[in-house]
Amino acid sequence: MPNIKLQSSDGEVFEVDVDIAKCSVTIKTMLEDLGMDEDEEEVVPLPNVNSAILRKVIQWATYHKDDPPPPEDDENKDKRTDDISSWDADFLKVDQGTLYELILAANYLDIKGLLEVTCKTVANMIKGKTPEEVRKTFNIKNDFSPSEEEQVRKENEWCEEK
Amino acid sequence: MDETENINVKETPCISINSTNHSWYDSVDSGYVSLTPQSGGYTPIISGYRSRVSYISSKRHHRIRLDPLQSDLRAQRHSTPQIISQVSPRRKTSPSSHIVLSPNCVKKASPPITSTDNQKSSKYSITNLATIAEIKPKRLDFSHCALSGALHHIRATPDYTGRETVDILALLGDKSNHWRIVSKILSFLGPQDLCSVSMVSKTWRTICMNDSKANTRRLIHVILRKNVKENLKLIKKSKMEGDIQSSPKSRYARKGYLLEVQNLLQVPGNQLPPGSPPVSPSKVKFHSFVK
Repeated sequence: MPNIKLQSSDGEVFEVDVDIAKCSVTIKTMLEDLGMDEDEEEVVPLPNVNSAILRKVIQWATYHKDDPPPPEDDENKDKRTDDISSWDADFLKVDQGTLYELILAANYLDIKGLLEVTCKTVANMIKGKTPEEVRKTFNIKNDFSPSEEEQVRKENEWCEEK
Repeated sequence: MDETENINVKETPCISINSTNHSWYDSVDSGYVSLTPQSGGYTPIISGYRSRVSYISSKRHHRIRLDPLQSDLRAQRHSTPQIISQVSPRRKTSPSSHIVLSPNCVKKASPPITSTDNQKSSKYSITNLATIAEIKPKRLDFSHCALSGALHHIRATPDYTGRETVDILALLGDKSNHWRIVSKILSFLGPQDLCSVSMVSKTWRTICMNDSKANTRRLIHVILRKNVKENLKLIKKSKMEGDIQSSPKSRYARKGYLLEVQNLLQVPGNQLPPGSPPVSPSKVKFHSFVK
């Protein structure tokens, strides 16, 4: 199996199986466009991904390397967020900063499955919460002025449960 | 003033002229008039210079009608080839004449330069030249190390790895323009959650509003909920009324309609069962209510 070297933003080099690296459409396209010599010592720099995140991404890609390609987005399909596999759920038990970086990395490397599951995780953090609970979850300051808050509340008053 | 003088000595005189040329047309005019005869003493070298001055001044008549910005651009564009064509012969022929000449230009051009505008513009053109000179060798350096080294330090957003809580939607949307991801996350939320999202903070509200699909879903939900709740209220109300008023007839009566014809309406009902009491039990209730 040929390997490829990926270099994180902080300079750490990871050697991974090309098949695993090809989970990332970005890397896959790059290899296809540029060609790859078997014995090339070339290192692919990934300036947007730090070593901690790249390690996570490679871990995810290794586990999911035999997955079928994710289905195309269906606009009309009911979006579910409760179909996260237990391995993924465990894998994504990380702090919000890491989750955010993982989303960025998945987006940058174009790894659809990882992007999907990370976005679902964020959605699950918001789901079923009151605005105050959401603020608490993400440590967000309520920056509405009293009059604005009143207006927003009025606009959404019919949404309140009861 | 010192700065501009230095600059003029270092650079070719045409730059100083061009920079003065950008504004203060009137004052520059006089400068040119006095400049041409003086520099005429250096005819062999300056002939081109002189003709250029007249060229610029003739150009200027056309330019006056244009807006200043545009004319600035034009002047600079014109200046580039002139610099090249003039610098080389002068350096070849005599560096001394160059030195003698430049203070001349400075003197003549000095009145317009005193304005801050001109100082700015002359500084600007010089720094431009300086940066161009700096960049050029860099561009040629395509070595792998330099490239990856440069890339290491280019990251639009700071690193958030390890932070316990982050304002994730604001970071994705407002701060880094990943709107596609934001809409993806919002698409996983139900309309009820979208209402909550829009009430969290100003940023989240804007994010929710800007995502047209999410906002439409939210608004449809709001309208639906509104209708349902209003209907529920109506139903509740009518139920409460229903306890008191059993028939539509009596409802009319309560509202004051058909009061006149109430007797008429009652007539057939009373007539059909002859043995029935003159007032039905519901009517007793009704009458007590009216009283």
